[in-house]
Amino acid sequence: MKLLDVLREELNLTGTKQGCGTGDCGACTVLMNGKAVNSCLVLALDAAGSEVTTIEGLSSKNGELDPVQKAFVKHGAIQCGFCTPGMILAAKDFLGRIPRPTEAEARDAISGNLCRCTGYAKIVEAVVEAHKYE
Amino acid sequence: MRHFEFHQPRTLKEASNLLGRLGPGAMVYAGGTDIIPRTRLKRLHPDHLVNIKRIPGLSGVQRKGNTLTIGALTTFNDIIFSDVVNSNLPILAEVARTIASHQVRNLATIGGNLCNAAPSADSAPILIALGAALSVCSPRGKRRVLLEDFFKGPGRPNLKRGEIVTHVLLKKPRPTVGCAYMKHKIRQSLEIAITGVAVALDFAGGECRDARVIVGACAPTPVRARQAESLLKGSALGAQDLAAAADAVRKEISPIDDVRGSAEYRREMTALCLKRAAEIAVRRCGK
Ligand SMILES: Cc1cc2nc3c(=O)[nH]c(=O)nc-3n(C[C@H](O)[C@H](O)[C@H](O)COP(=O)(O)OP(=O)(O)OC[C@H]3O[C@@H](n4cnc5c(N)ncnc54)[C@H](O)[C@@H]3O)c2cc1C
Ligand code: FES
Ligand code: FES
Repeated sequence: MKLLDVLREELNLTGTKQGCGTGDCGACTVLMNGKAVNSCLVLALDAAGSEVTTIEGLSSKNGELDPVQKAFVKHGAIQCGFCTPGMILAAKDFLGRIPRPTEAEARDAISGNLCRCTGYAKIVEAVVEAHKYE
Repeated sequence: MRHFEFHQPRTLKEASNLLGRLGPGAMVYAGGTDIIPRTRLKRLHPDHLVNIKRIPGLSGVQRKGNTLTIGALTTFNDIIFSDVVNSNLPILAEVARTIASHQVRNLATIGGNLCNAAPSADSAPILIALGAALSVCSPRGKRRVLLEDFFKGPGRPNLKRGEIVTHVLLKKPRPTVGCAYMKHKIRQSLEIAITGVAVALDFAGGECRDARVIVGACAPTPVRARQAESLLKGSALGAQDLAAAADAVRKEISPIDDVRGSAEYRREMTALCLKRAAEIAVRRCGK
């Protein structure tokens, strides 16, 4: 069983989406020990003992959104929302390594995520500007 | 998904003994980024997966003197963000950036990329160009194999049952050596190479002292283009020399027609990629 199936089917954490199931779309992205991974490529058994953060767990305990989430809201980087959890978690990991990315770096950050609504311009904007919401 | 048993040995010895005992239905499991999608697509039917990620000491990049050691479990993102790589052999980070996507690179290991033995494996051409060797461990002991001799065919690495690749070993090239990798693809990321050409040139005093040209995705295994190499060697690496090498490489590969490109297209793009890679490599010599 894949980590993705455990999250969605057993734990009812449906914020994590399934698109392709083969590592190509990024909709299933979660943080495993702080690193963005495709949960459709990770065996649940293999994730045992790791800290897994899904989109449900990204905001702080009092419900305040993470700076990356704030940036996505402010910049209208969301259309239907299907790709959004994966985009935000991919960006979260990347921004931890490169906090003030150039536009090219921001594109690289989300290069593993497809947006079927094609809203990339706003998403890239949000990733570039996210540090301002810290 | 198919049922299989998942084993999590803690030592190399335990892992290779297990693999030997479980027989041909057992596979090493590293990042899983090749195994999982291929199992899902029913192209692979493992009975046992032996996870080697609980074994200590197989991850990270170290430098001792002029030797760089890369643990088989080192992920491509580990390579991209490694200080040792960026200050000693930045070409490895550059190649890693052409692979898959940020998320996949957090999982995909260099050992898995090589042992999967796909003709298009992006890490292979540059590592062969740099003369890399693999350290392999089995119940019988340790051996070393040149990466150049490691690929026997698509999906067929030079490994016997129970053998596990533990490290990639390579020498830091001399300052007169410049390297480049040109991966031809349509999309910027998440793209398998249509052709991929790695070039390493040793250029000093206006003369090319040594040249390595390795082509991926254009034959059952990565190909060392020896004729192109011999045309570059001893030359001044002028435009005509590069053109002659590019012309030669067309005949040294045996590409197939597939969804990503026809054989003819691959030959043309390989020639062009060789020229471009060589131009970049020359500029990097002595830097
Ligand atoms: C969406 C996506 C995009 C991709 N894009 C690229 C790309 O651009 N370029 C590219 O080259 N590849 C690409 N790949 C393929 C894959 O990610 C890489 O080949 C990766 O490096 C495989 O490593 P892994 O650790 O995940 O291997 P695994 O899936 O764990 O294993 C692969 C094979 O190697 C064997 N193996 C693994 N480690 C060892 C070891 N230490 N000793 C002995 N045998 C071992 C396994 O038994 C298996 O046969 C992509 C994959 C996906 C899913
Ligand atoms: S569902 Fe995992 S990458 Fe598409
Ligand atoms: S907002 Fe709809 S898929 Fe990206």
